[in-house]
Amino acid sequence: MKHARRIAVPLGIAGVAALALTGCVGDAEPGASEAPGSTGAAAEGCEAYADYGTFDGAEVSVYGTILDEEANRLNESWAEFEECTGIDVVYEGSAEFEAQINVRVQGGNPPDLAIFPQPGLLASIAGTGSLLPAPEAVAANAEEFWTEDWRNYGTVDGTFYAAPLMASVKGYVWYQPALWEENGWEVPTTLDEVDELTATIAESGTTPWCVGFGSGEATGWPGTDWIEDYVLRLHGPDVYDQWVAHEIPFDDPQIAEAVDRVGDLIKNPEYVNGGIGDVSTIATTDFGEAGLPVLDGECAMHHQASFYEGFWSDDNSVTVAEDGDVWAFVLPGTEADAAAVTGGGEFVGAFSDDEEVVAVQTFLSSDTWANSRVSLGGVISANSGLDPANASSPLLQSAVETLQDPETTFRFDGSDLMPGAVGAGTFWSGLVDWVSGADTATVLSQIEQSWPQ
Amino acid sequence: MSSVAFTPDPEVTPDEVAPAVRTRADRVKRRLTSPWATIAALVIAVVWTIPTFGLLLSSFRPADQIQTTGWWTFFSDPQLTLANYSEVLFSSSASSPQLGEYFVNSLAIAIPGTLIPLVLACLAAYAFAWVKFKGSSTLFVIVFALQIVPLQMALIPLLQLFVTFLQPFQTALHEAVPFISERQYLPVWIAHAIFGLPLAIFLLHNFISAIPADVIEAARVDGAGHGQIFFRIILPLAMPAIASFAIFQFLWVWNDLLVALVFSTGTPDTAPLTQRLAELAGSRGENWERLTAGAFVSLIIPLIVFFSLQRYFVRGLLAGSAKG
Amino acid sequence: MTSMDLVGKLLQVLVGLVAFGAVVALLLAFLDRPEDKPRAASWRSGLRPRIILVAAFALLALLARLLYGLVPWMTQALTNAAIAVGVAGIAIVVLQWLLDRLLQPASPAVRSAVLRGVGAAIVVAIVLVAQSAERIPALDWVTPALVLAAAIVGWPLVGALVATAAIAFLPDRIRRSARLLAWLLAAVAVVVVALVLEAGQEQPVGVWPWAAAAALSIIGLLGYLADRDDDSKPMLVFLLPSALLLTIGLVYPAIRTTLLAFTDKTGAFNGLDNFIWMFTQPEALVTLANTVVWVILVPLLSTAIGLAYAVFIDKSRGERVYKMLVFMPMAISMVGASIIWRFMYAYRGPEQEQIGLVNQILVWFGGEPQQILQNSPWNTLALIVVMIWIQTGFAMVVLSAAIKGVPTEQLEAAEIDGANPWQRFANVTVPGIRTSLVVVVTTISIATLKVFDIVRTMTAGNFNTSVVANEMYTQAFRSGEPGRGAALALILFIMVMPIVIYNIRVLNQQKAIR
Repeated sequence: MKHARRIAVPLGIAGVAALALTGCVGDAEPGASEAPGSTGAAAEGCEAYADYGTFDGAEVSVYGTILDEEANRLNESWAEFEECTGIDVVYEGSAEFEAQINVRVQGGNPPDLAIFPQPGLLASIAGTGSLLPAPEAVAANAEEFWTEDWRNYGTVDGTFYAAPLMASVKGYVWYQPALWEENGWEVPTTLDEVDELTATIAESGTTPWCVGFGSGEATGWPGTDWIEDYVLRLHGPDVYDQWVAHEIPFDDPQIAEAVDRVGDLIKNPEYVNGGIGDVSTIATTDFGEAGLPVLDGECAMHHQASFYEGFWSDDNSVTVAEDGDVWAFVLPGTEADAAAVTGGGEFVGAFSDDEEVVAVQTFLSSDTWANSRVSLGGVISANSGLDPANASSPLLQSAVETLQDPETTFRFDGSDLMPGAVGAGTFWSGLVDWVSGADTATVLSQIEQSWPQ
Repeated sequence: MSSVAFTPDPEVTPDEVAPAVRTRADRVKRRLTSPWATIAALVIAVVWTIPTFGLLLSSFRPADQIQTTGWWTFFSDPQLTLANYSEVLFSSSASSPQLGEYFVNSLAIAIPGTLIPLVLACLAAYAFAWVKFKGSSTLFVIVFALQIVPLQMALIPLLQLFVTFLQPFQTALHEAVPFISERQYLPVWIAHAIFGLPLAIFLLHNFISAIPADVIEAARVDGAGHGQIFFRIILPLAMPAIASFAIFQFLWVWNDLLVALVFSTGTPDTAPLTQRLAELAGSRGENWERLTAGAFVSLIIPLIVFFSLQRYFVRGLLAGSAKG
Repeated sequence: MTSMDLVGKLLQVLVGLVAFGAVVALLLAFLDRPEDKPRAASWRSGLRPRIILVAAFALLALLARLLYGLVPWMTQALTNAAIAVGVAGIAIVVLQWLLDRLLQPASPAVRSAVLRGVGAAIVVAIVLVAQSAERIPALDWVTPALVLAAAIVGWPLVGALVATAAIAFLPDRIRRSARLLAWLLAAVAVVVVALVLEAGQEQPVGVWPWAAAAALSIIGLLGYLADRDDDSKPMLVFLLPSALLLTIGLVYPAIRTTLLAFTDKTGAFNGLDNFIWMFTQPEALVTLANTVVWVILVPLLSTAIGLAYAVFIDKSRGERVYKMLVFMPMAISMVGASIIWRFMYAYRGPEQEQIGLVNQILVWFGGEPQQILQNSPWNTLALIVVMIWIQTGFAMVVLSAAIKGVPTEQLEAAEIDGANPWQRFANVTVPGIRTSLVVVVTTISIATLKVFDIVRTMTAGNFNTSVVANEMYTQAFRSGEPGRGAALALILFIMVMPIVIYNIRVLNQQKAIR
């Protein structure tokens, strides 16, 4: 113990000295990490972004379903905006978005902005209370550039949350113009003509339709597009709205009629499934591959949305044009010239009201962004400030015109509007059962029972 | 001391074991096998390998061929390309840097994600096996039963805790050391440690408790405390079991997607290979050419790990030897 | 990737592992107190090590202060952090030295009481510092949530520490229970305070107080168990880190899931509705039956094949290569494996060229190609094959190791007794590796019950192939029905009970033998 005292003294001195010498470092930061100063004067070409202000080192996280090439283009579409405003937009795409957004919101770790692919999902997230109503600037943009129908899809219980982003038009029927000309087949103008044409093609020895419902864990959704197209065309937008809102039951005779009309085409072994197999292959054939036999003439028609344009080939070796390798017509109505289409789109909701987040959100709802993104190719938007000439292909141009035409009745993809348990659950699996052989009445009543009370 | 006899020498592989010992053991054991057994083993090996082999072959075939013809047609019409690999490895753009960065992330996640639960599980397994305390069995059963708590159900509560407690700390760390990004691996490590622990404790307990009691008694008589027993006897003796589990845990962490989706930020700062490959596969159904090549890229490290730790498997678990 | 990023990443891993190592080392340092060792040899009692430590801490702080302003990477925050660590380190060393000197002659009760008192003082200091963190520039990262958390958990913790310190002087008989009670009361206090604050404040506190309460209870419980005698004290050290992690990461979520199973999607209590839904939905019975088929077939077949394979290749030439081949599927992720097998099962019509090997083989042998993933009930078997393909590698590796551990003497003895190879296998090898067999079957069974990636990737649960885990995921995350998902999770838990009970029996037998 006698060592103790001898050493304790220097020990104490050392400690005190250290304390005295060090002390907390104050705020006087040495020049090393001096802020680089605001970029101040707008750089060249930044006039269009002057209203958004400048933010140094600000970061905004965006989360969505868009992946791969599409994600690259998305990043490109706001590159100039980032440069001019100094905001770093960090995009993260995930194929698991639908599940993960729930996890992140409930876990208290939501992104700043989320790109919702379905209004139904938007509504359920808004229901948790963490989604913020759209800021004024966004609301103003939405008022200016979108129709009421579209704004309504971003509105939950009277509060406007999210402006639309991109859009796609569903209900296209893809075909090979050369083959049709050779055989004298004409683009049908009514649904009855579609049936007749199908029969004619089948008699000629070609399989009329290629169909594929496969899509991994979302298997079945291409089938819902078929049903939605027929409900809208056979019974009009009012019945469609009632059906989607569950004001009429899912097994209503009108819906059953639409399902049976579809069944007459794609459950008929004579009419499917060109280049792949029999009716049973529909459920497992991947939607991405299902239409490809059209190119070989193994089937005459394939029903899929406008985005299928990008699926025909990876290297643009297939020309999509009226006189090209493939072209598409919009599935007609019961009468000629009845313009009713279904479609999809994304909506941008915010979980933060920081200034930089508002700036990004406002930018995404502007016509500047819509034109910037659409001219990069592959997609369209329903933004009325969009110049159709910017669309990258004849098909997309015609789709933009369809969307912007005030005469067009537009309805959002019904399964995206229904509660998740149905729209992303039993509706999908029910149609898989149905196309695998179950009868219409059974399937519809099962889906009806699964509708959340 | 008896522990000397039990200390395995990891440098010794079976081929180097003294010939006399080996032939005796071989003679007895080889009689168990027969030509039929060899054939059966061959059949199993072939059947088990074919799917992977088909994948390997497909990964070198041109994209359009993968989708239209079976991979076995390669033998009649050989066409090879490295395009799939170059697409997966070097496709670079603003949003998606090259795979290398994700590779680093996967390693940076998997190594601590293996070591942390392993060390903690060794400690816990020793306590359950060799420290006598009342309630030991009950606690062990609880830990064991925790294996069945579905990962998915634990994600949200854990994320809530991390957001409240870990994020401020991470921000502070980033401010103190700007080298370290604000997006860190820490939450992913902790999550993997938690989810790996129950199985790790269960497996290691089984091997650690099988160590002969007299070895430990002898050490105790010599005056060794629990710490010494743990380091000088348990760890060396259980090394094969620990190495085996290390491989399994490493594989699980390496192949995990769910935990990464929730706890990594999804950006190149922390996202592992699996997350990147899932994105590469894209939303457009089946990009076979990318999936096949990507799958093999992510297979490389696990196979290296298996090869380098394999001798522990071959050596066998000495710990089990005295039980009969 | 810039080199700076890489440095940052390596630094993270390094810092992480060093910090983890330090925590473990610190815990273990509390473990051994060998009475026969000279005290000076231990760093906790010797003076020289202390001086070195103090000097090191002082040097750290000094160095940080001197480098500040000289090199760009020495930021203000880093400097302050280094100084804080230095000062705190010196304080702890000095404190420990003082306590050690003071407590040496004291009775265990006094020692324990003083230590707890010091602990309480430290907690008080942390809470107070947190509350004035706003005014301290170096602590600007302390969020209001953290301040709140420090207060909500801190004060009950102080209460528990002070109470247990006082309890140290009670007679042994009631001391243990009183301490446990104190910890449990602290846990209750955390929750009650949080609930009261939540009711009074606009800002929701969140759910973490429940986790904190669970952690406090675990500390109390482990302390209760360790309090019996000195020999079980070490188990506290060995178990505490795992126990805390498991409590916040699994026990608390498990409890939460159980409660969730009785609520609807708005969070309101709805009795047994979720369970009624579960058993009345049209495909419920198919899903349950499938799960049972999975959990019977997968462990059985993969263990059997793995065992057979391990025996066949034991000591054979090229054993490593053989092992590698069957082990390889383990190294592929579940999703990857599912993709491979979807490729194997791919179907094209009879008139087309097959691209899936299984159907091609059928065609080669003159059969019709089959929709393997669609034709119930065979499709469930097709999915099970994938899981067996993966898990056989696990079984083989573990069992092969166990077989090598079976003593040669016993096999020889059996041979001398005239046992044929099969008898030797059945009567010597199998009993010798019984423990490993149980472990393998148990592990695979549990993995099988939880499997959902395979089903989700290959059929999405269509065509009557769904299993409980897949339904759980779908309900909880896709359909926005967490209550139903939780109810399904409970069913999984019930299904695993037989396995748990069997393992407990085996465990008890082992204990009895020992």
